[in-house]
Amino acid sequence: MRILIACGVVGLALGLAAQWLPRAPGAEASADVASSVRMQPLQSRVPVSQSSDGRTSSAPVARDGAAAPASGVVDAGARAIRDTLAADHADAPALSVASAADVERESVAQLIAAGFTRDRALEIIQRKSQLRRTSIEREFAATGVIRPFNASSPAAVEQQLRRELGDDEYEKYLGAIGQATRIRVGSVEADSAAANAGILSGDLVLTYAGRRVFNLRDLNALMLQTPEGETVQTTVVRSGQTIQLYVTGGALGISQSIAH
Amino acid sequence: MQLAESIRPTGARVGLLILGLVAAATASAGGKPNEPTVIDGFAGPVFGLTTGSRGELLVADQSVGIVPIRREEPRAPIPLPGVTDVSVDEDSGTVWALTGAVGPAPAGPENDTGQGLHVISHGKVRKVVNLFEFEAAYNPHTAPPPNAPDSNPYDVQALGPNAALLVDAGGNDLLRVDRWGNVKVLAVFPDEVVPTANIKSLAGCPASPAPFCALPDAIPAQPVPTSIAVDRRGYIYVGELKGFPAPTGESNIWRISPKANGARCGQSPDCVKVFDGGFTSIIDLAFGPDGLLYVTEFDERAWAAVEIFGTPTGGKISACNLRSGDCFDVKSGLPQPTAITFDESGALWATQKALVPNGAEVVKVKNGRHKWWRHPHYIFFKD
Repeated sequence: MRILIACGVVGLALGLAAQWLPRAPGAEASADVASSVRMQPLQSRVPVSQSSDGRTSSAPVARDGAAAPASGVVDAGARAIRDTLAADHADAPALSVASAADVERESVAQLIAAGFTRDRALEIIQRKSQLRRTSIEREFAATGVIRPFNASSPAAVEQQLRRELGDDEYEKYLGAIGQATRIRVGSVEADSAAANAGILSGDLVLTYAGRRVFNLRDLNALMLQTPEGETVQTTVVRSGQTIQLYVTGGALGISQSIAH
Repeated sequence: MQLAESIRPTGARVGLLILGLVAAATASAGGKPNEPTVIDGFAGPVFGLTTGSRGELLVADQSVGIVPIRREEPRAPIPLPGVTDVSVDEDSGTVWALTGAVGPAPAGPENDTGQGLHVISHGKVRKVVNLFEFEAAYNPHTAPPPNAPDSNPYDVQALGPNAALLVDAGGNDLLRVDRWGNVKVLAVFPDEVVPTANIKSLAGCPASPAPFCALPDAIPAQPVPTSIAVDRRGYIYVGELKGFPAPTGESNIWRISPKANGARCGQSPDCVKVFDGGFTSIIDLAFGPDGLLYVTEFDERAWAAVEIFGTPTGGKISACNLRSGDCFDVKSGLPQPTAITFDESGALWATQKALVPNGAEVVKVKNGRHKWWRHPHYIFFKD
């Protein structure tokens, strides 16, 4: 029995050692490759030319694109790859208008559950979709393209929605879709504007410079508009008590902690 | 008797083996339930993620600045609104950061909204170069008229305390900048003709009245380089998002020689494709401790799916062996991932829900197994 326990301890030590011992480069990769059950369709991904010793070569092969110098010219090899890709993607679940409608239905249900009437919930969700599409189509009409993460940025849509709903209804909407409506202060940097004003970890920030802030993005936008050194009033909730504090403009020096 | 004696030690060995295996498995699992680590508290959008010189994660939160994460908690940020990426030279601790184009039109990449490369020391930010001014003066990537300057610096890679590489997703080029503000164009990426089928499908064509339905079957798309990784020999790998019409399976990965100088990719031997398409909306690259190139794709239906519907279908991280060209899935179904990094233990972290206002998160995708030397040796570049 003693031997059994001793060997168990040895096993434990070996287990711990195995966890910390460095592994040779490639060993992990081999293990991962071996255990992978979802290999990609490799025929759609073309590597560079390989020399016999396995080293990559800087000399381009036909599919490198070097054989197709003119912008927009697609060589036969690349076209064949694209045909393969098209076949790959034919099996992919299509994101259609129907699936977007499903998302809208789900959002409407969330709003109704939070106390919105069905008609108002529909109005808000459809308005949000409309804002997004209008933004995209406006950019497309003006430039002939849409740029990634640009005109239709979700933040711009949210700002417009907030203006249209007003702060009270927007707060209710945020709560309904599961977003935080208060900034819970995480850490406070020593000697920062927040520390000097008496803001503590755990405080909930409600307003800054007289305006309601729902999140760090709102707070940061207002902080940037406030000249450094200028003093502004901020409202925080601490242990259920609403407190007015005065902070100097510029970076507050806090992090946000989201309570779940 | 003889049989019993021979069984006893064998049974003991089996018992020991089981005990040892159980102990090892317990140690390996750390005795904790297998729950993914998710860190939130970002204003977003979040476009960059890296590992700092003291093991902390650094998040490029565009609304706020660079947010350090220590002990899995976000800390007070270094203010730098507009930040798109951050990279750290491990030896010197020098922090490089990019600011990109901020705000929808009429701000955006065709205007000077503060696009630049910055060096951060002791919490103080110093702008090294105005990248919009560089783009306006040189505009290395020629586009169809009006061919206006367009700068959206997106990804940076430290080369040491004195220089960094960056890709400009608006300018469609790879630049090397030293800390005195000298800029060198290493490579310029070409437009390619791509199918419009995906954007039409997303817009619900032909039934939809969306203007995309009138597009021809294929049109030229800008490359939109979004990601840089450097291998041990100093070769630079750049991944493309592919711009409008946001095709699927058309994002390339290019390899650029460290000696490149104004290379026209696809024409110069100093800038060749290592993957001719096959990926969709590449948003980040990183070499792992296993030597594999980790490729992050933003969404399986391309970035426009998120733009149009506001809801992702899921992004993916693959690991690719550059010798064989083989890739395998590391993680799929990630909502809006924009960046990845390996921490000191070799664990893989990613951003997710990165464009959701106040909803961005950093998630541990894969546990680390050992401490490793994160940064490659820059044979050609190290300053």
